[in-house]
Amino acid sequence: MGYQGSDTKVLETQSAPEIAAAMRSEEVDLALLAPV
Amino acid sequence: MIEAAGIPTVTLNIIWAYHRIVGMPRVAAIEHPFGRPYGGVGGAETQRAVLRAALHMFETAREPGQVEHLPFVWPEPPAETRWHPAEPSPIIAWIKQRAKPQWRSHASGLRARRICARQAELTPARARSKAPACPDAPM
Repeated sequence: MGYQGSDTKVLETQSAPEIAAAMRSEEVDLALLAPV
Repeated sequence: MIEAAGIPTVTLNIIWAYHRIVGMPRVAAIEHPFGRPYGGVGGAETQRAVLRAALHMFETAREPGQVEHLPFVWPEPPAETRWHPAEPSPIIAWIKQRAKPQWRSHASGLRARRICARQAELTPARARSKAPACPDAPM
């Protein structure tokens, strides 16, 4: 996802929906997120 | 949005209290340094154990926003940390140069307010009414 800055518009309207759609199409069962 | 797509998530989180601000469905809290949530470089055994413990939360979590504190302790105290690179990353360099004075100011403001509040507790009520008010909490 990369650095998002303070404006979350791209994250909310583009990045996250595309990531979620890709994960659904790949039949992902769960996601373990690990911010570093 | 990942959760909304029907995919459950667990966040392995170093700053677990942050979830109170942004909201995270499930938090596996771990007291490891930044950049090393799973463990040290080459520490496959610890990394595997952290991974399994975090994955286990998918089975055990029972309510939204649940936080589970994982029982892992970083092997060296912060003052003795040896894994930082000789040249800091751009964000760390920026924090050291610019943000640190702000944090210091914030911390000293908080300290002054706590000391003032404690002094007010110990001061008799009659004298307290003549004392200057404690400073506001810094933003």
